[in-house]
Amino acid sequence: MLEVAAPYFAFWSLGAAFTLGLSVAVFPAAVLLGLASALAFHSGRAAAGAASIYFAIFRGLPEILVILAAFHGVNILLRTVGTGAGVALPTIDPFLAAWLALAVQFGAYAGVIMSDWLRIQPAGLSEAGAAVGMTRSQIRRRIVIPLVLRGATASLGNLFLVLLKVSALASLIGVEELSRRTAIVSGAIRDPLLAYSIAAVLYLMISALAEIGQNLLERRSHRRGGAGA
Amino acid sequence: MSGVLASPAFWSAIWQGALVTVSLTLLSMAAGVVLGAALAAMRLKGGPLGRTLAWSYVFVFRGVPVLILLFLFYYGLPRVPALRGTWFWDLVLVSPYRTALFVLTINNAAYIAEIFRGGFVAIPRGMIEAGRAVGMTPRQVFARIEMPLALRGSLGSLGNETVAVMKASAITSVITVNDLMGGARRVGDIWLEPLTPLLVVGFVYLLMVMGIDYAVARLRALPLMGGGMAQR
Amino acid sequence: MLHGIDLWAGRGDVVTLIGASGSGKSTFIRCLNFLEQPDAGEVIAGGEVFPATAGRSRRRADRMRIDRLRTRVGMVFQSFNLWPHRTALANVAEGPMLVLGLSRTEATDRARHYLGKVGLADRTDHYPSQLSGGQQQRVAIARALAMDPEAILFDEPTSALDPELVGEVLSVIADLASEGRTMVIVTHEMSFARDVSTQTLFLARGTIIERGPPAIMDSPTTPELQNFLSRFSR
Repeated sequence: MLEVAAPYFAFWSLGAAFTLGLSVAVFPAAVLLGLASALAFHSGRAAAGAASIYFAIFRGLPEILVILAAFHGVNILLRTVGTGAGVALPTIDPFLAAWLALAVQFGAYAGVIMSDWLRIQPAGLSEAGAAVGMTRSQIRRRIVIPLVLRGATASLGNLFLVLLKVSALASLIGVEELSRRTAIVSGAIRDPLLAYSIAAVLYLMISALAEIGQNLLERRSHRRGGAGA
Repeated sequence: MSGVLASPAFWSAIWQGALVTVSLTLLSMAAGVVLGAALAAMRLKGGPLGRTLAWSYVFVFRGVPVLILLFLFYYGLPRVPALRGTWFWDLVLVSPYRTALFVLTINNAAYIAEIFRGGFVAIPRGMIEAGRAVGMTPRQVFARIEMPLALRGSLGSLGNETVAVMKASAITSVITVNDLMGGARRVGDIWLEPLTPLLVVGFVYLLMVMGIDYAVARLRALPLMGGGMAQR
Repeated sequence: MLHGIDLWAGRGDVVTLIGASGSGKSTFIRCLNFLEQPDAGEVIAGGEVFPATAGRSRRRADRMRIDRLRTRVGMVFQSFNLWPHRTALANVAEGPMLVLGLSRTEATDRARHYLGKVGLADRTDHYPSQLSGGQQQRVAIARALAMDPEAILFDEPTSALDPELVGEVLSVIADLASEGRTMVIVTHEMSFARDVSTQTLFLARGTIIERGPPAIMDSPTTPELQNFLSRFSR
């Protein structure tokens, strides 16, 4: 039964690698966005309001909607700008649209996680920094941010696992990751049951791999003085 | 842009879609809580076999994307001749909506099982001891004290899970379910205006999340849930 | 670790256990109904002998015996341990209904009776979160009473309470003492212990240092007890 699918394994494995690659490309951007919005959330200024609106919107919007809206939205924007300037601009690359959508959406998720950690940071640690004469930005850079990142490691690791699965939705705008390639193989071998079963196993393998990586990372951060509070 | 918005057919698609989204979410939560509770019980008290089974279930159905599960059940399983005429066919595979509800539920149950497991672990020992001290058997303690307390402690997480299920239900539009998202995509295709319907249903999703949050806050305020005028 | 402790309480006796924290008082009282598993020794209640091994036994018969012991010996905890998802009434009625097999009406009638006895007739439908600490502990006492136990164990019943709420709980326990209930009480309230006990045990380092009528607190013979009591005199 498997031999029908055998000729496609190389094609498929590349799709799996692409899935991992997409998530790896999105994640740092999401963490940076999350950190910035979490700091803004606790800044007590107008930025705090903006951050909480950002969190609320992407907590409620389905990822599939955000991906489709980013894809169509950017294209409409490009077309309008192009028409105005009298040139034909190319349409957006689906990968770029998926990257943008996932980074913004998961940035909000990461922001909520990190603002929770910011909230429970003991004030004494920052005060100890102030007591040795550190400036506010030094305290933030040398004490607060490292502590938050360390504390949030486990939650962010889980977020990465979620991202791996959600990134399957990028296939709907034509990104050739694992799901998209599965659909192609499924059509070619005319056996969706086999194709999607194999895809499910591949996703489990990627998740297991990521989980092992996460455990290693957590153990390292524990060795370096634990996960914080 | 206004072409779509002026069409009554669009608004009726949104309304119909909203009903489908709400019913998918609520039914999947109801079934997911039952299945998830059973899985959590297996994981905690099911012995080596039950533990392994429950763990495997959670590993598989949390690890495979909903999109893949939907395709597997909608395009894959109907190709198995042996399933034809079975109860599973008549009950689940017979329509896109039912397939969607089934997939959302088995996925959801894996997450809820983990939520409940956390809820059980967080029960203070004293609650259990108080039951043992009046002579309840472990089984009675489990049914009358641990179960309700785990459920109660999980309320906030269940609220978040409801939001997550509602968002996941949007994916079922890929197997032609006419939920909010499906309605928006269909209308967008017909009018060749993909973005506007998406923005409108996005707003509807946000309203629904506010509704879920409001319901959870109300439940939390009940004395049964530990709300009210705590004096200490 | 406890070693070489023995305690005898006849009907109507009120035995108080005093001693510094960590002296083993709570561990000992929790061994009496096998919430803590003793390594050796035995518990005798109502003529039935429960050897230490019964606590660890996986045999169904042994476990049922322990459950039976627990229905005859009530317990009141330091942190109340009221079930937060049940009203005061349901907290008290749960045991009689589930364990003694009373009907719902009988059990709630009984619960109402005992809630009235601890002065909470008007709080039956409140949830624990709506009650003060003192009220919660009184519900917990009613919960123990509702099982019609032959003896009640109190594990520091007032230690988790704000000082102004201690009195209401102690007076309920004192009432029970004057009714002739058999009780074993771990407490830090020295004057209360002096007033209600028929027998006082002073524990330190997991064993009994001094025992006797409550008067031993007025004339301690061991330096340990002298030292311990000096912290309370003011």
